[in-house]
Amino acid sequence: MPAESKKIAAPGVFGKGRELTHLIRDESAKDSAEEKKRPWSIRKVDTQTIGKNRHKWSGHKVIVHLDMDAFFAAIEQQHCPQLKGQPVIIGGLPGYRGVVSTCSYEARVFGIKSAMPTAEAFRRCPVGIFLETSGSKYTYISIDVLNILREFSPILEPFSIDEAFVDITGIWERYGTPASMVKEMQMMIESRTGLTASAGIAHNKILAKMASGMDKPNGLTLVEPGTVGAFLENLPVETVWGIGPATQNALSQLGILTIGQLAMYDVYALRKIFGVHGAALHEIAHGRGDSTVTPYYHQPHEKSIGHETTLPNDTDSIDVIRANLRVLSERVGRRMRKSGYETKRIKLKFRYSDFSTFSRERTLTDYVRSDLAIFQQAVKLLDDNLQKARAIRLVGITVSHLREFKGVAQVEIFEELCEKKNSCICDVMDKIKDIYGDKSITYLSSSFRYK
Amino acid sequence: MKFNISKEKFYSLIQKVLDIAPVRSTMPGLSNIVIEVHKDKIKMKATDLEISITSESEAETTGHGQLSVPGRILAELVRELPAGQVMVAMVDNRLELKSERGVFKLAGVPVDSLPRIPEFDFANEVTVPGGTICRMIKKCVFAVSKEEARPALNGVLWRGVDKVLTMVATNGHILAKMSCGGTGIKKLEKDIIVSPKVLEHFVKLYGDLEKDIGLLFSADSLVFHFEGTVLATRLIDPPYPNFEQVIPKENDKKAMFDRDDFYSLLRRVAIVSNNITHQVKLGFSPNSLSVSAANFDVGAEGHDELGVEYNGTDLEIGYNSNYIMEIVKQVDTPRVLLEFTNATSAAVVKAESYEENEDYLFLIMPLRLVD
Repeated sequence: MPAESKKIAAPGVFGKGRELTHLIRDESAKDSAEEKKRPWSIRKVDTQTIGKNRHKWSGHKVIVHLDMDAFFAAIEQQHCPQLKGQPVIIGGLPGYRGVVSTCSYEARVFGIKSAMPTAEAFRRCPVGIFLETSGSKYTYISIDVLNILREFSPILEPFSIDEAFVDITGIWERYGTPASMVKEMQMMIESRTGLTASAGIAHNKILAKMASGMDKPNGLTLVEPGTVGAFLENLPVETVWGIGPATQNALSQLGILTIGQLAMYDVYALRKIFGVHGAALHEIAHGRGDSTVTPYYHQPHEKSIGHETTLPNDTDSIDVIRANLRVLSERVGRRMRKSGYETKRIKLKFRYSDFSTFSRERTLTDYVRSDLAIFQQAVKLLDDNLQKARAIRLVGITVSHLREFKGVAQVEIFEELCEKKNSCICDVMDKIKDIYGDKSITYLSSSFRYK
Repeated sequence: MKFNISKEKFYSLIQKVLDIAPVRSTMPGLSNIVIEVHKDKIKMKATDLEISITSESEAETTGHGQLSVPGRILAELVRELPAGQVMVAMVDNRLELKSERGVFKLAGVPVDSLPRIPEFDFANEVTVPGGTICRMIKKCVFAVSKEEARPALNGVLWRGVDKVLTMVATNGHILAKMSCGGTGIKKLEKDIIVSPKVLEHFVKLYGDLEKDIGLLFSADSLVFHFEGTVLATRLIDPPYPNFEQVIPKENDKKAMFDRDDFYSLLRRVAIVSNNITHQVKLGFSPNSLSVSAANFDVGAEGHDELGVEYNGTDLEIGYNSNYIMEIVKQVDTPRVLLEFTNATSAAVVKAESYEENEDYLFLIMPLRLVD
């Protein structure tokens, strides 16, 4: 699971909240032969509860959040059957720097979590199988899963590579209950891809997302209308999507540990302390939130495109940092051109070894679209702002102020300074990469990045 | 240390140096100006670390010393003082200003904690007619690039070869070039690139004095020396692109038209041009020029015509209206000559005639017509 969803996963939150949520589970399945082969159970719809719940959802939106279980690790296990049942850790390789992106449930037994440094993961589980991420494979399967979901509802919002929201308002009636429909989705995903997903059902996105994290893997959690208060009351605040360690710490200083306590807190006080975010927190604590699932075909245009990288070692070598910026600008440039944009604003982010992080940006007078133009601006921002003799841990480049590229109209005087020429080079490189893959061609200067 | 000075003289002295001190700065005290008193003279100094200025004026002084004070507050204060003499004293790092009845105090900063403003030896300075230098700067400086990605284009190039001084500025889309003989500069050791901020400041201070000025060229700086003022700047690092190579020598089509009529026509048509590309279309046909533009975003379009001397074939060329207007404004003669070949290569704008010893031209690149 990617690190960003970590905030809402609530390990150990199985108190009152769980009892009150409607967990659908077929206890009899535990004894089946199939069950014994699997390290976790498949829960099936309890047919007795179906009729009872039906009326509860009438007049409410029904939003489903689906979250693939240990997505990257499960794919690797699927890809290479020998890995099944093994603690598989996806992210960096031990001995190199990096963090755990996902790990299989077998590895979680050792206390490994997403976003944990690989070195720490290796210390906890030396017998683990460490693998590097292979993005294109995951994207391919992610698209497969989305296609399956699309068969159920066209109102589908991909949220990240392994998560999606689906609006099944009205549609669920064909299946009897929302739960039985979602169960069907989960079974379809499992039968076609061999992967499992956990789901949450609620009347808005934020509750659905919190619910899907309640019972992993392959679980289904319902937050029915009318039980929202009870569902949220005893959950720790960090379960809320958007509350990170800093906010959690600030809240705990106010004596707010659970969402119930947060809901009771004065909204004006929260507003004063956390600004706009405070009011939003209060809304969430009351289970109110956005229920608009924006279908993938209505997604707004990208506002910015960015990439960042943690360097293999902290370094103050300008050559190494530059080479990394070269690679990043190439990636950003390629994505930007693929989406058909050109940019006018370039942002450089850098993090020193002490984790202090800075970002500086610059607006250009003209739109640019070549890797070189992005790189030059990033280097300039680096030269202007970097404190010498301080080691850098992470660099990132983001372009914003995007506009659709319609061809260069202004003819330039100097060919050698011409953005058009650089832009043509990029177009040719893009074509080569389209055919032979992203690693088929790059700039020689980017090879210095491991020095 | 004390001095007496008339309010007007004091204010104009502050005005001379104030623009150089940055409005905001991360370095404390950089936006201050330094006041130095020494033997019947007061000197004001300011720097932004690239450019420095020292300007002096005579005054009745007692004692000597120097202090740096917040420039903008001092300027506002002196501006609002009543006309007449101002008595200025430095007491315990404070500047005290006394007018007829009022007393104002400003906290200063000891000068030694500030960046040093360089002193120059003028033994090797070249004397040149200030008016000519001013005229050359004005002709070129508008074309300087504002894009920081190409530092060399952020300045005006000075080249001195065979007793001719040439200034060039370009932003990659337009280029301005002016050469003058008889400036007294025989040869520059190397091309230099000078920031437009210092050039514009020089033009402003010089006004229309029509006096000679001193120029001091050194390896990394250029110094203007005139009327008790020393204005110095660090040079911008080369390389400057090869501009001579891009000026077309054989543009076969030539059109001559009235400068003012063309300018006012362009202003009209530009209003309905696209507000991102500013594109205007120039349609040349024998003895007639039609200029048209359209902004489909707001549903505006228009065209207008002008009589021209033109004998070539029919041709349509697109230009950025802002560029072409700025260039036409720079031509001194009532009629303008435009030389071009086709719709995708550089056109050259020239005056109908030139004064002795001088020569200037502007180059403009077209906008590709995409419709």
